[in-house]
Amino acid sequence: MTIAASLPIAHRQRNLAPLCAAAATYLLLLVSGDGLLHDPDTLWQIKVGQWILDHRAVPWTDVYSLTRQGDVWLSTSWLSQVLFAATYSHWGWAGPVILAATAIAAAMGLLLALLQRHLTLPYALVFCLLAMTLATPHLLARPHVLALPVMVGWAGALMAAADRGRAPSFLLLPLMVLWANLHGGFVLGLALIGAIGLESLWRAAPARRLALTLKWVAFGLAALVASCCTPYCLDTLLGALRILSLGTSFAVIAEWRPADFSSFSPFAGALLALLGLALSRGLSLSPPRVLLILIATWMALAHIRSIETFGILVPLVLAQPLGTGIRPTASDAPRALWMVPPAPAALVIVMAVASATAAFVAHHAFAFSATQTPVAAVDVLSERRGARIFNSYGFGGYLIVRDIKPFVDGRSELYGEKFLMDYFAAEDGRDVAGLLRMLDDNRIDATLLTADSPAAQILDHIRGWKRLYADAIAVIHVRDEQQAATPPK
Amino acid sequence: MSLSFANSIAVQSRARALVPLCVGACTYLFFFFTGDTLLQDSDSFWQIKIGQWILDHGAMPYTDFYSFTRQGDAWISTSWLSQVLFAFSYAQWGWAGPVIITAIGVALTAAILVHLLETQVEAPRAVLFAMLALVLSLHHVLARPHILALPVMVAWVGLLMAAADRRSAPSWTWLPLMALWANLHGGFVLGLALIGPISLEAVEHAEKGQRLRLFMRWVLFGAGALLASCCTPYGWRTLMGATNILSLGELLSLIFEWMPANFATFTSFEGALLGLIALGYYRGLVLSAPRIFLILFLTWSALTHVRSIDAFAFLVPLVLAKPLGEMLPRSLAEAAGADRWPARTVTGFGALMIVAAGWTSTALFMAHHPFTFTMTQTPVAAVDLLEQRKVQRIFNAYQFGGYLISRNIPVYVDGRAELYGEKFVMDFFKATEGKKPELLPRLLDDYKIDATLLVADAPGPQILDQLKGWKRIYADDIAVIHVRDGASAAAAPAKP
Repeated sequence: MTIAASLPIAHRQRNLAPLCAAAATYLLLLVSGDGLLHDPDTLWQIKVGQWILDHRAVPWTDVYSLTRQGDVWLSTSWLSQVLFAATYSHWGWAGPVILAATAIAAAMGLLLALLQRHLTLPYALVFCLLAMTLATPHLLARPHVLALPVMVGWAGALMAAADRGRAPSFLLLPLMVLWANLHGGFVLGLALIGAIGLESLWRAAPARRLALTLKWVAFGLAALVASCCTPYCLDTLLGALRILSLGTSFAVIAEWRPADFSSFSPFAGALLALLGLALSRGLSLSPPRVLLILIATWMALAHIRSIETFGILVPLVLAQPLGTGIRPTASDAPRALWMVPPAPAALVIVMAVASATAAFVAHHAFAFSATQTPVAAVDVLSERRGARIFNSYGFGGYLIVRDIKPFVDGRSELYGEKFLMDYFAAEDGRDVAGLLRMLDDNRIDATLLTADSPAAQILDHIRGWKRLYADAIAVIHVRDEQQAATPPK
Repeated sequence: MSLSFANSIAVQSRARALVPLCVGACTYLFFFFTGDTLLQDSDSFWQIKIGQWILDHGAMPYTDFYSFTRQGDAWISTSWLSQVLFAFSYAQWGWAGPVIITAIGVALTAAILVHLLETQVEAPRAVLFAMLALVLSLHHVLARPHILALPVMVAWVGLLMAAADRRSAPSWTWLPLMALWANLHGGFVLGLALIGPISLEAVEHAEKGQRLRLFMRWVLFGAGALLASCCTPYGWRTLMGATNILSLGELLSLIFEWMPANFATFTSFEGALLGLIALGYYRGLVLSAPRIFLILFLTWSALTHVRSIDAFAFLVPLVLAKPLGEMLPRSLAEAAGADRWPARTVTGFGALMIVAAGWTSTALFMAHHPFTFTMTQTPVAAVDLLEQRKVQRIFNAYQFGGYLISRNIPVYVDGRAELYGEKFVMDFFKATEGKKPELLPRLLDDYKIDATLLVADAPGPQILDQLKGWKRIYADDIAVIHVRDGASAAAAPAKP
């Protein structure tokens, strides 16, 4: 009798843990908020968001670049951009930081809540911390972060349906609509339906399999339709798939690079731990679950940006089989009797976090990381009006903000694989002839390159170019008419 | 009944000896027939050259005499015995010699692996593991010393694991194996390092009272192995030489075989890694802690350095064999039909046949197939030109060093990275790969270079085209030569 009475209380006590974890994550990210602001992509994301707010329309063609002006370009994460732009215009850089921190915290809290259904709190917390550590390098004020809680919720809901051997509820579909508007990564959500559906079928009794298959197929089709509920309709899917078709240029863009094991990283640790767990616990997973783990691992090995997906998906897949070994026990029930009821506690936590935010923002001015932003160099360039500029990849976002048309920027799907490969070969000093051809063909007047860029060092030795400006961040070269006029010996 | 049953097992075990032999023969023939692919690493050139030097002088090299940048610096050859073997076989049979030796090395490795696995798992599975291991290490099978050390590595770890499975210490009679390894290749350090975790595996499974005694025996064995590894012409300096290579730091990320595993495209190693994870989660394997540590250690080495994929491929099956064997009960049905008395004769006769067949096909193939070094990466014509011009100090690409040594031309740099040191080779790479083009003219002047011999599609030649005082005099698909341009160099100071 006493046990029966204490169990619901224990359950309610556990429900407070996700909120605490989320609050802790949020505060941690807020305090280290400047760390979220060092990706130049953030700059053009906000710029696009402002454009959408100003024009009350989504962009269909590119308006910012020098080389791709007027080409088809869809903003697959328009809603995130609008959110970032709106918060930025209200609260300055504190806005995007708070928005991103809230989203990440929500994702962590949600993950913890989902894991707690099968694991005791300590184990669930370990997995959450691991997921957080894995995602850390990629936690930036950019659209994919806003899509993070949606991804956790979606994957968790599908896994929960599969654990019970059922089809997911159609009430989940608005989540997919939200995801498709927030970020192009929703394609993963569509793909997960197939993989997790297999697991559900594996568990179901043979007689029920046909009916269940039909339900999952219906759900998949409905999700596909839901993902098209954006201003772009059917083109959303095409836009998202365009990013995936960049091929070899992935190897040069940092976040699309394959995992690197030259030094020990959290991902290497996680991979070895995954292997160690497999060989030590005697776990025997169903083939669809093994497949899910392998797909997540393979994706993370192939592209660093999928490491966060790995960190979230693998614990969700492992939770149920691990949980049969480490089942939440009723032993912590008696302690629960002293716990305060959740609703007031939750309110207290939210209030505390809100006041902490207000207090912190009041005396801390968030600033976009200036160590990688060529402010002074662009000041020099903007004096030379109308100059056609060849820029380093990382400077594109900042140039857009300063209303200077960049040669290339972070929107790799706009520029296409061949253009990017040629560009990187030239910029990395691997193709000197290609660099000169690119400068001449595009009638470039000035180059804005990172200080350690090989191309900048090569231009020092090239006739017809001279170094105009240099600081620790950027180097400017301009055409040297005088020297070019004298014929080489 | 029980007697005949026991007999049939004995017969089966004798007939089983043929399986490793067959695997070995097939492997040998495969690598022998595709022998030209073994000859594409320019390191083979200087390995043979040094082997010849040792044979000619009857002495070991203690200093370098092939480069003009490190002439006279201390350098010891950690794989002198392999080099002598390569040089000797090369002198006897031309390029066919190194190919045969390499193929025998790989074949022995596969045969030993199958033999060791067969004591734990069924023959088909053992062969499957061996095939997987060969596929994984395929890209690293080259006519170079590490291949000759491969069978020694598998045998060494196999006997250590066997001792651990028996819960005893390995026999001292195996120490000569370590001495052989230390003379063949610098990788013997791995063999020393593995004694530790494998001894823990033995100790963990021993009975309580026995543990300390067993552990002491393993410690003694480890000390013995350490001594055995110094049984080389260099004595204790062998160890120093082998560890020198590991201290190259950042440089290791630029030399292909020391690079971390790359997952940009799907490789066989990625498949093996995912397969290992799948095996763990699907079969519900439970391994002891030292075994898990061994597997994680081998996986980690393979992730950080491509060249460790060999060790991963051949050693992980050895670690997994016993737990897998316990999980999959062996069927004894295959023994039922075996005849009793002819088994020994059949085995002996079969072995003889296989060896004879291997030898005749070798002889036949050698007679009509001249093995040649893969010359698509060898700058023959360019070096001919350099010789004609009697150029002394040549700034050569890293991968051309071996070939220049074989042509008796002093090199700027070659594959012996441990001789040149981290900074020197890093500067070289930064200068020629376009990472720091400004270094290039400085290096050329500091070392008073007369001519450069660089890879055709690399950035180096393109940068030189733009540099004042240098002109391109030769270019083909493989290499580009630049020499100092006297006229424009003299005119250059006149310009402001």
